[in-house]
Amino acid sequence: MTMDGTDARGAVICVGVLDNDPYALKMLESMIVRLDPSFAIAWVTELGAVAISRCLSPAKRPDVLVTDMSLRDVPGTEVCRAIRTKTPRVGLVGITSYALDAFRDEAARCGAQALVGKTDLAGLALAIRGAAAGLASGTAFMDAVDAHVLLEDAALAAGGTGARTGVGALSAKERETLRRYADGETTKEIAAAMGVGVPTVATFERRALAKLGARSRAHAISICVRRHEF
Amino acid sequence: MRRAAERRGSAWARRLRSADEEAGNAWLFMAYTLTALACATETVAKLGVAGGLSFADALCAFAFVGLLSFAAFRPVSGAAAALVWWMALCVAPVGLPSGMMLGALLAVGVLGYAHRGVGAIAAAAAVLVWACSRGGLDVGALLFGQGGSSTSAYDTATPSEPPEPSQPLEPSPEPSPQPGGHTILGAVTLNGVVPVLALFAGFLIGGVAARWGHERDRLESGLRLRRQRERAARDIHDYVSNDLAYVILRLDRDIADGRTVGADELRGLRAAAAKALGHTHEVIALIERGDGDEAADGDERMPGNRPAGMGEALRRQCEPWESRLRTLGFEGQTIIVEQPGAEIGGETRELLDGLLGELYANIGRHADPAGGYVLTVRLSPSGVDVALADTASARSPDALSSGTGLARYRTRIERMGGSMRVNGGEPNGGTGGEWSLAVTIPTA
Repeated sequence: MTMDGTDARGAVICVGVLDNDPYALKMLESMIVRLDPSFAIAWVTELGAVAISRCLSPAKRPDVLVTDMSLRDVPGTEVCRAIRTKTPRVGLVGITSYALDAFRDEAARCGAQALVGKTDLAGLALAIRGAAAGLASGTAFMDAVDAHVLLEDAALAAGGTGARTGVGALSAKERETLRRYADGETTKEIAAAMGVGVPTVATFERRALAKLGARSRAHAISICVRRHEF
Repeated sequence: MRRAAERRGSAWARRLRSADEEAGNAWLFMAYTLTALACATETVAKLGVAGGLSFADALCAFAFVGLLSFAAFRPVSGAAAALVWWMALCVAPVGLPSGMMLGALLAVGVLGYAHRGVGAIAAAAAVLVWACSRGGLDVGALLFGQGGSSTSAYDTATPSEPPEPSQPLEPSPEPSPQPGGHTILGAVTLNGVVPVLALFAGFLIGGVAARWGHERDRLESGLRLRRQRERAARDIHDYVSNDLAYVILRLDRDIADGRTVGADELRGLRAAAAKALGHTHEVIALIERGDGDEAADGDERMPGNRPAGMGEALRRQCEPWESRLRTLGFEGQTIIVEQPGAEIGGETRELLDGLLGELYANIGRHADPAGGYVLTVRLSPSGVDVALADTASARSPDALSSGTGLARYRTRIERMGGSMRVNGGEPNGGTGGEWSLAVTIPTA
């Protein structure tokens, strides 16, 4: 697992905060710096578009983005997805004053590392610390790198389907996974080589099988060979 | 001295000339010509007949006909000349064809059209002259009180009528000296001064009213023209100037890259230029078509205006803009979210349409490709939210923009009860060149 360097232990964790409500924003800002001496506010903003733009900018990228899920201009989940599709280097922590269940699955799918209630300060501190290291908090969520690979790959596949043959088209990662299996690598070796977790490799394989209409890994590989996919 | 007089004279001529041009129209031409024809016919018919016109009378009358014909081409100056000639003939001891009064009436109407004051003075003068010379009004009686000789006479048909209260100039009407009154063209008989006065006043009012109506029409058409021009300016800005700016930016990039331009690039540039040309034609068509109804035009500019699936339609609409920016080297994102129950009216839709085009074009013109851009649109039951974040370019090619695009949209959005906030934009400012915009348009 690649981790974003020095801030993981002891060093300052820069946090960006996104909330439409300027008062909530002020409160979050003052609360977060009090949670842990290593937390520092990099910036706050009321606009989802600005938060995405800053998280993708190498100069302004924070270690963790804390975002409200119920934004006015764009849903928090879409903010997470937009960032996570492009980069694994920002930890994403969703906060909400609604029931967590309402957003949890969607937030996980969109690449967030945690979702906590707005009043759960201890949980927030833990989630920020974990997300700064790219680690998920809670079983529903994925680590930042895995989530990024999945979303990026899905985005590429979605962008490519129009140009290529449609449903049966494999994404680059799916094809690479099958090719490595065909070369005799184990799942662990593939995960290490691709820089993702074992469950992510399993996801690639599952999606590839579904796309090819294959009944097993061997079936999928033989289809790929016939189609000259490798 | 002489030069000043000449200058004054030429100024008058110019004013007359412009008054002629203003007043001239086909109907007036016809009226003058018909009146002249009637006068000429009557003169010829009465020439040499016992109790008719002498040769000298006829010459004077034909001069009047000539002036009326001149007036057909130069309505105002001709009217003035004809009226003066008519008044002179009234005073002179000559016989006049009755149709000449029609010409005088017409002249008063035209003068009233050209200038209200001049018309009123001309009408008053004409009535006074006629009343004193032909109408049997005794000036002596007017000046020195009643008891003049003329009251002894006639007027069999009409009892004395009350004077017009609005015309203090006019004394109590005196009866006509001729039994049977003044007959015009053998058709209309006028008894006394009052009917003549009423006729002149009527023509004067008619002229002034026609002027008033024309002025109003002109104001209205001016307003229509201005609206149309504003719309054309907007369309030129929204479409043509954005297209051209894009072409220029791409050429700039090609020049900066310094490599040989491939066929694909040329084709892309050609397509963009062709689109600009097509939009130019559309705008020209719009200008030529004049005040085509705006609603129909608005509909045709936004296909897929169904409330359902509007997010999808918007996404499709944004795709070409995004790919344009990609060719300029922008790695950006457009996030469009449609909430259930979102309903957008036609006006909002058109506004959103134009605004998005403007924003994309602004990104191309003012933003730094390395900084990318993020554009979000949320359609919800309460309205539309649009937000944009990008990084202002250090070299902002101001030549590509007049800077009025967003200001115009701000005005329109605020008129609809919405708001537009813009932050940052200084390349070396505290925000690191970050530029952001947030627009809210509430549902009407």
